[in-house]
Amino acid sequence: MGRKGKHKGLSRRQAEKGPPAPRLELPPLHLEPAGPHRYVIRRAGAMRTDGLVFASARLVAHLGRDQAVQQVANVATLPGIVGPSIAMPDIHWGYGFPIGGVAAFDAVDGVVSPGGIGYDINCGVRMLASDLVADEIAGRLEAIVDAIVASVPSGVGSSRFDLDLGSGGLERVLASGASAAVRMGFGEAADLDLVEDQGVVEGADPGEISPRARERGGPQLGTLGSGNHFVELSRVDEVHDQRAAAVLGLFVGQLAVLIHTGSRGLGHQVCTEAVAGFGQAAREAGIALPDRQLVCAPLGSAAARGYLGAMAAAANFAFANRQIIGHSVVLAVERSLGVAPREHGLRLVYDVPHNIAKWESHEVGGRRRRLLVHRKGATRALPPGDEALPEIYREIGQPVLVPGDMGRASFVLVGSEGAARESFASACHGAGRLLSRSDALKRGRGRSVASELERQGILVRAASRRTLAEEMPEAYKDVEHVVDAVCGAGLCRRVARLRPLGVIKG
Amino acid sequence: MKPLPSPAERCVGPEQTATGRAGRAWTLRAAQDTQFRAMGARIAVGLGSNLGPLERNLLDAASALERVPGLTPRALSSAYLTEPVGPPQPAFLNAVLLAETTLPPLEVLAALQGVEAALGRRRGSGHGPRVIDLDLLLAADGVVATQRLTLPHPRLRERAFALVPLVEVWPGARDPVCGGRYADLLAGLGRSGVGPARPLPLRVARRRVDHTADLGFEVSAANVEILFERAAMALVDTMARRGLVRERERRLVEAKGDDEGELLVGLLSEVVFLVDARRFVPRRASVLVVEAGRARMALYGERLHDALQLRSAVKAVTHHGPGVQRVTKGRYRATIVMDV
Repeated sequence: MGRKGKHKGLSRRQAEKGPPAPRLELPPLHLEPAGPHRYVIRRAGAMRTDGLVFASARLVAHLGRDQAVQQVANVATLPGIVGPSIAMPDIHWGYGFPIGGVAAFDAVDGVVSPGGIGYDINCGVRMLASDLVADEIAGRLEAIVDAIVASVPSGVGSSRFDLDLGSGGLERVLASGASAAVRMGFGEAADLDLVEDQGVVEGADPGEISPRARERGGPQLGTLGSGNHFVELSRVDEVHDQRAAAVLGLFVGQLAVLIHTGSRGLGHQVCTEAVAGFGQAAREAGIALPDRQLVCAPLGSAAARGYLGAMAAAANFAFANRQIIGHSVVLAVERSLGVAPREHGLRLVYDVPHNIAKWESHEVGGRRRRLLVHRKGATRALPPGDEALPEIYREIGQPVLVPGDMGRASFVLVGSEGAARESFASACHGAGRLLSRSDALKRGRGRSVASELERQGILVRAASRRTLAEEMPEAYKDVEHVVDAVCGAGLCRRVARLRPLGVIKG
Repeated sequence: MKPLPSPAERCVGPEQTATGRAGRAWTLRAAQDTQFRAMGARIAVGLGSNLGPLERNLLDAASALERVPGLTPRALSSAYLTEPVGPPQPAFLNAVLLAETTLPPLEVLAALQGVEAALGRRRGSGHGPRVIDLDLLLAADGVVATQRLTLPHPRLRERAFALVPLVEVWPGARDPVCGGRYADLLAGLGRSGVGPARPLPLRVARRRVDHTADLGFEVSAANVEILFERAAMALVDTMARRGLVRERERRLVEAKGDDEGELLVGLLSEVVFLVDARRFVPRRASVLVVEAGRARMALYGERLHDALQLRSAVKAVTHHGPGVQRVTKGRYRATIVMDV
């Protein structure tokens, strides 16, 4: 297939019919099919490397609508990038980096870009499993949902002044993450093994968290926030891999919980301040940028060190946040059902960040290199056997939690060898938006998304109707297609599919 | 020295004899009260327009007064459509701006005349239609009687079109000479000739920029100052129902940056911080200065309360997209994408 071949646009209808066209034109960039569930953007112009998008033909058809592909190419222009600029099947238009983007940078020549992590530093998903059979508690679902609403503050500007951090409490949260929350009485020490990297990012420097970030985020610890953040009660509907499901303690019919939130205003302020300050750092290093939002600083610079210290501290705040909320959910279930911990058996399955940068060692071109891997709307997906995994999960690989929209499904996957080989051990993080928020609002006019979902047997509590309309199921791609692509590309294996029963939206 | 006849003479007080000399101090009483002076004297300025875009004229005047050194606006009343006094002419739109100042009265008067001239008012056109008319109406505890200036304004007590907005923003205002409340005076006078309150400022024209994951908007204006003000209001409009916000407090925000795009994102990020961390919702923005490397903006609004629910959270204002562009000569456009 010569590169001079005639390019042909792929309409959505063609895409849904099946076989992808041999070439795809997305002016000014071309996505070329490069194997199963892979598309390449060939290096051109200022790009230092290729772009690599994991997607199916069906998902690629959606990409023509926005600038996400351009953003993959923009990231490829950053200094010190190692391997391709990668995007996951749930890629969509972000600012600077695409959402669903993965990029690794050399420890010496590379950069850190706050936009490659995002404003919601260490936004992520935590999953709890239980010993309860979902159908058996169906009659109590509303009571459980209401109890969670009462114990987890959510919505715009939610704060939690009841949470007494005491003297030095915030410092401990920033320095040590989830374990600080355990010390405050939220959950157990055994939980820490089941949080990515024990719920702490090393190198956190609380001194780099500005007074304004503390003022903005401090009172928001233990709150869900708004927008796409949620707590969801789900039922395990299908198990695809019995062995892995057994290791994770999952069974068909089981009641499970998904929690999606991050570092709240603290992380937003850290990123805001870093993006403002990095303009200078990028200029001093003589880095030309295709988009101001991609500002970055050389990894050896003082600006980079300061930001990495602050980013790690904000990530720790998010780990503590999910630890606190997870514990609050357990208590809410206990209270509403009147059962003891032994009876409900609620326990942590795993906790996965999807907006973060981490120092990792990866094999590139036959040698191991220390790299700073940015994941913005992407998860880590370590293969079986990796030593960073907790011992009990080492044989199956890292659990990857992929929430879908609130009407369809969510998935539990595990990382596989393909991810280690091709995506710096990374995978997708969700369904990815299809409609803009304003388009979703337009479609939601005159409808009650809550009662539509209720007819499907999904109970929804949201702080605002507007959020519900913005977050309606049809605003998202079908997560099933994303999971098909990420598994088809060999980055992950399916373990289980969950169906939402009750959703608490901020 | 021949003081102009003033209704205030009906209640001549002992202070009056000590005032008037070129307006060095607001009054004897004010001059003796050092704490009062340190805070600045509270003044009320009447704004009126009956030529051209009336609302825009009032807002432009309020913004221009913001940039007068030594003068700090505190609140702008609603606007009222009023019947003209004197020869037949179009109806006026009137409002009152409350401010604090450390300037002597005659310097305030000069500043008002400077703003009138800058907005295109031709002096000496008598009582005919005008783009903008600014009157120094009142100073707290201030009595001035010179040839150039009389305070309180000599006809304030008989003008419902000035008293209605004055009482709205300064309900406790008293006549400094006789101590009577203007609210009581107005109750006796009646509101004849004054229409219902029309909240200022009204909507900012913004175009929604469609972005898959997040929200964006585009605003345009004839100069960078107004562009920044409109962008700030469009940002607040995505977070809150700005029409319900009252002007209770003033907050200043500041940003540094290399170009107008960076300055704007910097200022807007401060607005996000004010709302999310300080729970302060602005209703109106007024740019104080935009210069190389620096911008300052005043925001008028109030703290969040039950009736003012936020409608959506903005995590951050990004630098994504074209930012601030000069489209043509005298036409600027700002495109802003927010992380929500």
